[in-house]
Amino acid sequence: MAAPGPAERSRPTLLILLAAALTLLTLQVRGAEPLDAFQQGIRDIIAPVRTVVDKATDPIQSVWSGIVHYGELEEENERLAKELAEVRGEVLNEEADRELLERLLGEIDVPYADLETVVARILGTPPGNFGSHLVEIDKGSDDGLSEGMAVVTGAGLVGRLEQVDRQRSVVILATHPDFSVGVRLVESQDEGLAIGTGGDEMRLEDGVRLDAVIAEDEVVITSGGRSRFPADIPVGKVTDPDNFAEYERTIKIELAASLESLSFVNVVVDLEENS
Amino acid sequence: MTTRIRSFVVLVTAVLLQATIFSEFRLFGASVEVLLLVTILASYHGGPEHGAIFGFFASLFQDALTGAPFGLHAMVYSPLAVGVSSIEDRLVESRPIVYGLGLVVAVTLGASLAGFTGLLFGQTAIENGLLIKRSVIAGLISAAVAPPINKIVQWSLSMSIPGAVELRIPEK
Repeated sequence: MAAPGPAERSRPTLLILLAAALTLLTLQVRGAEPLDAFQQGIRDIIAPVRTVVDKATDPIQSVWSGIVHYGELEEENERLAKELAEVRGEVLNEEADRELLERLLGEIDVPYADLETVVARILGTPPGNFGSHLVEIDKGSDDGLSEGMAVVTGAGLVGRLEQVDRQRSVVILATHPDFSVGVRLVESQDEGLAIGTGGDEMRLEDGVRLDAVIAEDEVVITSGGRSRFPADIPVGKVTDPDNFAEYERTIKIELAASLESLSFVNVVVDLEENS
Repeated sequence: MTTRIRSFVVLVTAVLLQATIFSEFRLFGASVEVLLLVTILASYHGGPEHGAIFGFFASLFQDALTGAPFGLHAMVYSPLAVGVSSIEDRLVESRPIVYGLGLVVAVTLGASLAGFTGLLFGQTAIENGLLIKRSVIAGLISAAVAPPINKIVQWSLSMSIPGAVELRIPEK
């Protein structure tokens, strides 16, 4: 009888490894905390190396980003030039003047409520090829952050903290399909649950009356209450009120904060007091 | 230095590279899958059993880096390592282009399978088209950086690879 080849010999090993993988997977999906802590420990050990390499390669990254995103930068430049021209035209109007001033003030401070926030820098996409609608920031549990905290900019809601390590955290953006937040429509006062679509907008489902009259451009804010997000954070404005729905109403919301061009964000740390 | 220690050094280096340089420099949103790449190379040079074990540990680090639950990437990396080694045994053609293309296919397949496993377990939120596109780009750029990494993996296993056997006929 011939001796088994390498492929045959590896079968029991492969079966044992797959069984181990399934066991680990089941344990962690069921919420085994030691495994979470172990993973966090690995990331915490690597974090200082990442920070050093980040800083050392920053200029090269900028050049790389310029080369790779040249087309996008050109498009953005064009868009910004158009927007600038529009703003210049509107600047003569007194109302536009006031709105612009408010927006500019919003860029330098979080105007809604007296929320205690921690300013964090966006580092980029977390490791891995499939981290869609996720960004990494340079603050973590050492700075008082914890999972579930709301992340905002002066313009409005950005997302929430999903994974918090000692020096870094991952933010799940409001457009992520797993993201949901309780919201209120400012004029109609209807409340509902807004969820990410995986695209560049949110969808308001559940809670809004079929006969509620909702205007396009109606402002949407967080509802607070039992939600883990503080109340009155601007979320965006209605782009499609779905006024003629017969059974289920799905309202589209354009986010107030531009998630494509984020550099800094504010993490709301006094979640307990405000929720 | 034994093969195990060398493999461990290669694994730790790959983890650091994956977490730093290869995560920062992306092409159309895709980055080099260095942990998957070293798994494939380890199985190619070290055989199916070594590849499967190496892939298991590499996948645990990949899980930790990406925030996926432990075991998710191992469901793909270890079987892929065994598969690559089995196919390598049966390869008749040995031109570099064949190995290069094989590497692109293996990384693309591994990355996309890992992505779909993530979707299955609700760990990723990415459209199927984008997932495949990123996997293909990851396969191409991983193959592009493979030559130096291949040399390092080969070095790590050089003590376990049998050398040439010299046959001598005893003189009468």
